[in-house]
Amino acid sequence: MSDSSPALHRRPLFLLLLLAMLAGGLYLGWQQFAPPAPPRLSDQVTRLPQPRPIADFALVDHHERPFTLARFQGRWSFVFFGYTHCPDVCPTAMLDLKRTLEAVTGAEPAVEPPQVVFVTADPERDTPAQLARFVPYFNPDFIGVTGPQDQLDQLSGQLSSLAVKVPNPDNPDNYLVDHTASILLLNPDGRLEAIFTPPHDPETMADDYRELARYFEEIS
Amino acid sequence: MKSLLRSLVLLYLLAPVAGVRADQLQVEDPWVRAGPPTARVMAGYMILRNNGDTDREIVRVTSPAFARVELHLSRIEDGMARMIPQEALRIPAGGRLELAPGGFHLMLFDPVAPLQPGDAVELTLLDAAGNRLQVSAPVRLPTDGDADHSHHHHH
Repeated sequence: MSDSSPALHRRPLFLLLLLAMLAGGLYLGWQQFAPPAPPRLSDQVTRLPQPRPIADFALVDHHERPFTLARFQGRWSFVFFGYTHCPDVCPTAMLDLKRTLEAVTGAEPAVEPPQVVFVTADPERDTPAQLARFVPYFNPDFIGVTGPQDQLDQLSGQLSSLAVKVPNPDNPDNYLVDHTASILLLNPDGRLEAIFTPPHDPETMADDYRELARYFEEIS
Repeated sequence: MKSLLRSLVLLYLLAPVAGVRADQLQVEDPWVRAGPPTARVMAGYMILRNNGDTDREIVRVTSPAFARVELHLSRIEDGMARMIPQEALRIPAGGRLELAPGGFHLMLFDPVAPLQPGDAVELTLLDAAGNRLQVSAPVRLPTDGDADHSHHHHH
């Protein structure tokens, strides 16, 4: 009689433990299989339902090193098409990207920072040396890319971007270039993930980037 | 001879009127965007305020610091960033025109010498009537307050 009494006392405790373990297991299982929360994005960004693969291309960076599709793989990339003889829109976009990067790295939890790639819309004037004078001015890690027109067309076409040379009749040496104003985001698979339409607010872009990076990490 | 003298006197009397007109046009917060030391093009911004009761037009800008100055408007049309040369910058009577990143700006070609933050650029603004307005614009980096407001409120 004195033996069974402690056992009776212990049984509910044992059941309770079993129940707790079961609940914990269910919770872990649910976490494992529930789809991750989709990214919460601002209206500045359009996420492609299916990230778009990019075919390879042969360009050069501002150090005259080859710049091919491989340079877009293994990390996130912001890509902007512009030209160095552009005094207003392009420096503004570069500054927006610099501030976006600062906002991305300054927030918690830490995410992998993206690289920033400035692809010229004006290969005639934007040699690697000319890009080297412009692009790193905004941030020493920014990459300038140029190359043959057909290879630039190959890349820009795949990123739905356009560049159109516009003559400046009063000042023919200083022609203008109309170019796509959006900033593109490629994911670490080297696929087009999202398009950021202007106006570009660095804080909002950074929040959107962090959400996209978080989601990509969770579904990979 | 008498009529010539009379017209000279008349011109002399009218001259200060032109001066008054120029005073009615005011420039606030002029600045030139600092860029890479090798930049061949830069942009100038300011707020033009017209306190007079007639519209005013800036038709030309010159600067000893640049080979050439053009009046431009940056605009986004169908997703494309475009720069559109302007014949004139119009400031409505009693109103203002803001030259700011992403909108109207002075496009400054070929600096005579590299410009850095802290330098100042002398600009001469000419209106359609031939009035001159001298402006000294500091070279500096943009701040958060410099965004073109019309452009940011467009949603």
